[in-house]
Amino acid sequence: MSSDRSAAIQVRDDVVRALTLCASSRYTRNMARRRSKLDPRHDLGALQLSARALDARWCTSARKTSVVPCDMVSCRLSMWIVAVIVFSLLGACDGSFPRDPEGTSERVRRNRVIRVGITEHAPWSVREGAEARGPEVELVRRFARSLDVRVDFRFGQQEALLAALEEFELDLVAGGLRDETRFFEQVGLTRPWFVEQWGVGVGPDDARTELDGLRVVVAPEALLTAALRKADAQPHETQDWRTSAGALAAPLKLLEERGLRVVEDDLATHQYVLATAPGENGWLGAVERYLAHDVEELQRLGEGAWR
Amino acid sequence: MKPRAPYKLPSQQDAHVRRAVRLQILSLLLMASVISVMAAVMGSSQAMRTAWLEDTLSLIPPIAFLIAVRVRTRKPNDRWPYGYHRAVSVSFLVAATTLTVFGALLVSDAVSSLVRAEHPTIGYVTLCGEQLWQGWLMIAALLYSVVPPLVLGHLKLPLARELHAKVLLADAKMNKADWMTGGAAALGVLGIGFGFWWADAVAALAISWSVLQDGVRSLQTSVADLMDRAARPVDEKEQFDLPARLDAYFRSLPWVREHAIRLRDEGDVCVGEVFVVVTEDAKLVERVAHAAREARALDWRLYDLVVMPVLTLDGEEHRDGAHN
Repeated sequence: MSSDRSAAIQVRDDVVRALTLCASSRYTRNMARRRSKLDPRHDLGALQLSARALDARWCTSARKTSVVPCDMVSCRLSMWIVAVIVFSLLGACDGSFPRDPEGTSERVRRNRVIRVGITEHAPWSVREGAEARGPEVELVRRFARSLDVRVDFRFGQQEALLAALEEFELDLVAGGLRDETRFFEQVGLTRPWFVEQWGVGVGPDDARTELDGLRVVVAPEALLTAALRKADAQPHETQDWRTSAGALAAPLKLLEERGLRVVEDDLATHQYVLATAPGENGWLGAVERYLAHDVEELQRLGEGAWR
Repeated sequence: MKPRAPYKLPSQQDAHVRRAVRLQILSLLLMASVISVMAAVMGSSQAMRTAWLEDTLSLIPPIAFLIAVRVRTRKPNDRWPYGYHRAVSVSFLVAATTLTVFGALLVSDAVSSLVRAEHPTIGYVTLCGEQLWQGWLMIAALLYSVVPPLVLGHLKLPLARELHAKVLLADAKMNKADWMTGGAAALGVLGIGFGFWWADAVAALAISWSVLQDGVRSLQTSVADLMDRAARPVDEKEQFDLPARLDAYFRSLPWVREHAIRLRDEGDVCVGEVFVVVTEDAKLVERVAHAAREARALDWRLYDLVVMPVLTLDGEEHRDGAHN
């Protein structure tokens, strides 16, 4: 393995040298051409000679990397392609690819702690005294356990936490974040760890099949209310929507458990995600791998949220 | 109004034009496939977005060429007595302006993301149960995007020289340079993978700089064309000895004592005037008509040539005559 590695590094160095020579010979030749345009009497001999010498050296290095230098143009092209491929392979044989520009994975490994920002967002994450609770808190704890590290929870407003994440003061932000939220452009997002379909259910005796004019109890959330209004229903927002009688807007799983008949199964789709620091692609990969590994467990966690 | 005689390409050039049209249609199709593949895997890499935009922009020259080819063969008429050849220059100007504006926008984008030290996040996809970094897909798409323009550029370049067509030449050169775009973007994505957040923005800057350069160079050519710059070869490799041959022809005429030639490019044909000082006035009209016809037959690029007898070449005589 180590001899393979050093051979690969040798090839990479050859490619880099060849590319540098190629660039400098081009530059010299362009300069010669430009000067001759300005002043036709200018003596070009020296410049052209040095360009030619650079060309010759370049082709020698190119040959060393086993690129076939048939003619200059295709030689130059294949140099680039080879450079790209060599770099990719070098990266791929290394386990830590892609890497983190700010070294999050490395720091987590060294300090054995992840700094997690938590927003209070019932039922996903709630604060009880100094303790954090909820499925998403549980998710973070399990992730930390899989890495064999401690979690340092910090509560705060979503905006403040995301700002801290942007400055690499946090490693992860959780708490009912959904991927439709607008100001996520500056941080990294995982793919959804849980997808929740919302619908409207009515009592089993209710023969209705239309939302038209129906009074629907709904959680006080503007997007849900708006979706109901668009479907011509009459939304009724209340904090204790889960215990209210009558037509109800809720996750399909919850409607099913309450024995309600679903009349609308596509009111909204909530996709829950976690946020990582911007550009820490290796760290994002570590989180993603955990989420993909523990899919069924996470599904159970998500479905249990509203109980 | 006396419209010009309609222009007819010799059959060999006509075949070249048809081949160029086929190539351009092929390029539109292939580039459309490249653009959609790239759009499918495009993430938040700025270099990738810039490369994608450049590929999208590279659709403009072929479209301009196809439109121009259709328009310029229309017959000159009373409303357009000089014919439609300038359509080529106009379409070129439009394409060049677009390129320049986009290039400038992309450069400022890249600079601002460098200044703000934006760290591009590239996510993951699930492929056969494995978590695959999307960067790999992006690199694969970029490598694919390199191939069609490279091949097409090589095919178009000789045609552009054959046809004295600057639009086609600019297009071919852009195509040929396109592989560097793809390569630079791929290196940018790889750079992100190696933990250099700036690699992406730097690659984007390099690409957008080349777009801007393309644009400015094309703008210069098209404006020079519309400003009636003296006719010249599209690049150093075009066989373009028309001025020399015209000169030799008029030198060989025994009834011409002195002559001066004025020649400009009008799209992809040349037009101009030859002023002649004659040794004797006998049969002047016939001689002039004959000389104009023979001169036009010298080269297919020469569309319209006016042969004008004058008293002296420096034109002073005319002005003096006007004062009297």
